[in-house]
Amino acid sequence: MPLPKRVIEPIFVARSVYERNELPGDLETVTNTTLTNIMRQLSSLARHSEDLFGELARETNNMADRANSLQGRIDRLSIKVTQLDSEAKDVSLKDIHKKKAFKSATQFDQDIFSRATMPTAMLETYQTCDKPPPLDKLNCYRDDGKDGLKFYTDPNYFFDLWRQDILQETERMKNDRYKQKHKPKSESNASSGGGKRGQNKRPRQPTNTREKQRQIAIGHGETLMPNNVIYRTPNSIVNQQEVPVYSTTDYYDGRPNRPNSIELRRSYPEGSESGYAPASPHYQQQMSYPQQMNDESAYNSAMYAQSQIESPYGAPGTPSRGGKIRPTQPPPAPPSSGSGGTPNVSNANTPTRGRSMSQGRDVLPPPPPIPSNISSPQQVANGILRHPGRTSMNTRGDSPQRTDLNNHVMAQLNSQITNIDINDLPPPPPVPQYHMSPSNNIAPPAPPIAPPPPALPNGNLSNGITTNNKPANIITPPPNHAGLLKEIETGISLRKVDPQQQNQRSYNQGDLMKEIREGIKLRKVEQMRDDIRQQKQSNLHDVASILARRVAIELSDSESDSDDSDEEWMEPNETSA
Amino acid sequence: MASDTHREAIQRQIHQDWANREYIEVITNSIKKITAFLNSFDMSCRSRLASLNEKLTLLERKIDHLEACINKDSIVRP
Repeated sequence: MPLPKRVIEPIFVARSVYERNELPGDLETVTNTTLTNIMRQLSSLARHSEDLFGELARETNNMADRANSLQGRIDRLSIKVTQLDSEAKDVSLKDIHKKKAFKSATQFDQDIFSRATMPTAMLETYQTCDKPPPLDKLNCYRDDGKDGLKFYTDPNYFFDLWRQDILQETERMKNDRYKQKHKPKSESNASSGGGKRGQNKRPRQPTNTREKQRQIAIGHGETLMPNNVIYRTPNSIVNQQEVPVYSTTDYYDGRPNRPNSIELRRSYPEGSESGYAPASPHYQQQMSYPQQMNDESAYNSAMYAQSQIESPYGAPGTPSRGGKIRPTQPPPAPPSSGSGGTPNVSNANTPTRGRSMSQGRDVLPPPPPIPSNISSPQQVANGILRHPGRTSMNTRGDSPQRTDLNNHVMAQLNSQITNIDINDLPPPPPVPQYHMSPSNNIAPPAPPIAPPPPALPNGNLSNGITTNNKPANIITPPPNHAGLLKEIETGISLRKVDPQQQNQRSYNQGDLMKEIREGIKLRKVEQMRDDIRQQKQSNLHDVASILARRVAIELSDSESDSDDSDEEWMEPNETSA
Repeated sequence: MASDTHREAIQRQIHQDWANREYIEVITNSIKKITAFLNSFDMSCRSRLASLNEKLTLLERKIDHLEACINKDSIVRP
């Protein structure tokens, strides 16, 4: 509703309340009343004109002041300019640093339409307006915490609308930029994802630099062959081809596993820290992943030095995983039935799951057959989940190269064992021996050894060994099962191997936990950013700050670049878990 | 006669009233003119002042720039 700025008061000058007395006096009364009202109008007009002239005079005075100061500055400037000598132009770099940056002292008009800068005449008009009904008194009866008055009238409505619009646009711009920066990275991850298992950072880095170089080259106007196509297809082809033959090499199949590894990382803290596997099969699967990862990392840490040396073989020697199958693989047979995990069942499951689950565990010996009367679901989960890896290893354990590799690992482990303080570790339970026996059984050189009787694992259960120990014990044999055969035959150093493995495993677990924590920290940082953003949003209440923020975001290209590069560095840590 | 005098009185009053109304009309018209003039004066003054303000702001910026340039030299010199 438009409001006139100045209203001359009595609008209808002739209207008034007249008493009907006699006719002749009537006309005079009307005339006199009209004249008085006209005089009131004139007074009002005079007041308004005084106000008007006063405003104009104030503004002109301001102008005059500014013009005077400007004139003074111009005079001073002209004097300075005449005094300037054009020859003295020795600008030294040191002096440049001493100078203050130029900062304009000019203040521009702000809040032109706010209530504070409203002209007095307008303010008076506003004050004559009816006040809105005191709906804000009903605020205490509202559940949603909104201001009741804002449903009636909200002076800030349009500003809020504009603010939200602008802020959302800013956020969208930021997100777009973020996505644009991260898209190529994710693609490169997908293409180069697997790499060598032990060093996740390694393969990623070259591809990034390649991408960068390529983009730089393209930026320079060169045309390049579509390297990526050539680069990727061999992987997939080789991967598919090698799955049946070598049951995949670790080189190529890292990509499909990646999402799962992330999943692992999420589920890991719950499962590992509690050390208790809930009954649901799904959870068991999750629970088993971290352990697999541990095995893998342990194995890789042990194997890495040699994989460097025997690079042609080292990589293929690494665990086979049909990673593609794994994500969709259903969890092992649910142990909920208690006795469901019979040896037959587990054996039947192993071949199919062998490729999918055997990530990093080709060296592991086959698990002992699961006792028929297992009571704890966790045991079943461990047993069943471990099978695949071990069985797949067995298939490959036949190759002499494999045994060579294992021997190398064994030698390394033995050298490490000597350095380990066994006292720190829990005394190795007798069970591991029994668990070992399966490895002997399955390992090609020592087929004669009979599979472990199911009763022994039961005894293991009854011994009350901690859940943490169990997986370790079960896992321990793998890396060196070829060498273990000899040791088992000699029957001496086997217990030492266990603590060693366990120690290593716990160490790796610590690493893993650390990484996980770092990952969680990273997420927290992002959340903190979000919080800060929200705080900023809530704090942005004036136009200047909003626009300044928008401009800052638009100008922050270089900063965000550096941030992204940092995140690129950080991500390998996250996914390496 | 009485009716005639009464009618004349009424006619005179009506004439007087017409004269008064005309007078009032003149006054109100002049008031309107004053307000119109004041409004136009206000508008023109404000527009001129605004243009002047614009020019002054521009000049101030230029002077700022010039002062910064000259002060830079003057600072560097010693």
